[in-house]
Amino acid sequence: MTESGSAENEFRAKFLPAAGGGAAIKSLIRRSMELRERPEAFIHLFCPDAVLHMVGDRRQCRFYGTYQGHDEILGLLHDVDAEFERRDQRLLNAVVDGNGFAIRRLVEIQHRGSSESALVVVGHVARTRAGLFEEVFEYADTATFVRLMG
Amino acid sequence: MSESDSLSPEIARSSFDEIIEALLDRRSNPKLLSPLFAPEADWLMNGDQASWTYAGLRCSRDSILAYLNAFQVEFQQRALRRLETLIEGEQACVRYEMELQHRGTRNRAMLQCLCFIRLEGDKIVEVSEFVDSATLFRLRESRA
Repeated sequence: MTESGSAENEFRAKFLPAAGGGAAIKSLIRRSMELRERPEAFIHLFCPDAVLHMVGDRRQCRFYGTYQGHDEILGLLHDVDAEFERRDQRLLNAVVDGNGFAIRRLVEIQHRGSSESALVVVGHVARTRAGLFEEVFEYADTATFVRLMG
Repeated sequence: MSESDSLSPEIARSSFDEIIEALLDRRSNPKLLSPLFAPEADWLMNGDQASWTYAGLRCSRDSILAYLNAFQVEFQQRALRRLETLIEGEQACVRYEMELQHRGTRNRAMLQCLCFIRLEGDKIVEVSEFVDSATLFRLRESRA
């Protein structure tokens, strides 16, 4: 994993100069990675009626399910952040197509209670509207979270 | 991967889409997949390696086919439906749902899956697949 400064440089090497019509989406990806640690700012990257699908097994972990609108999504962000700290993250790749994109991130997470940590690859697929997230699917493996939560 | 690294920036979208279709169609019959992969291809099944032995990186076409064969021995793929496809240059991402049945317990589940694919020329050199390992593990249990 890299320090945050070199991670930013790595991101810029991959995405600047942005190519063609994907520039707005690549800017949104960059801002989302910068703002994720500040949920009250991060939420404004979502349309008011945005939908976030946390894809996984809700029977084993309460985070998984579908969240609609700023209040529900912000509630999830606070719930996850109360339990886990993201210690580092790196963008692995991005696919931008029309108003949609998909990314893979390598994230180091640590459970605040157990101090157990893990490196996980998280996948996202998103559709955007007017430069904001309209619908997001997040794929973060249930088993890893369950194991860290003990 | 930066654009300057691309070895196949000119691949037509329709050609890439045909490769994706073939990959998904033949997933349940791995011996038919061989021509799609470069010999040095990688396949990463994202998941918790501490609790799920299928998770992890397979390097080389032969180990990928062996992994997919082992997967098919344990799980029968009953249905697969592509939901969304994103393509940019030599990279693509496919969202799909797959109904699996464990051949031992007969437990079934519909899984929402994600797959990133990278080509060089007309061969797949990298796949990164998200299939929820906790759901697969639950299918193994006698009472799902």
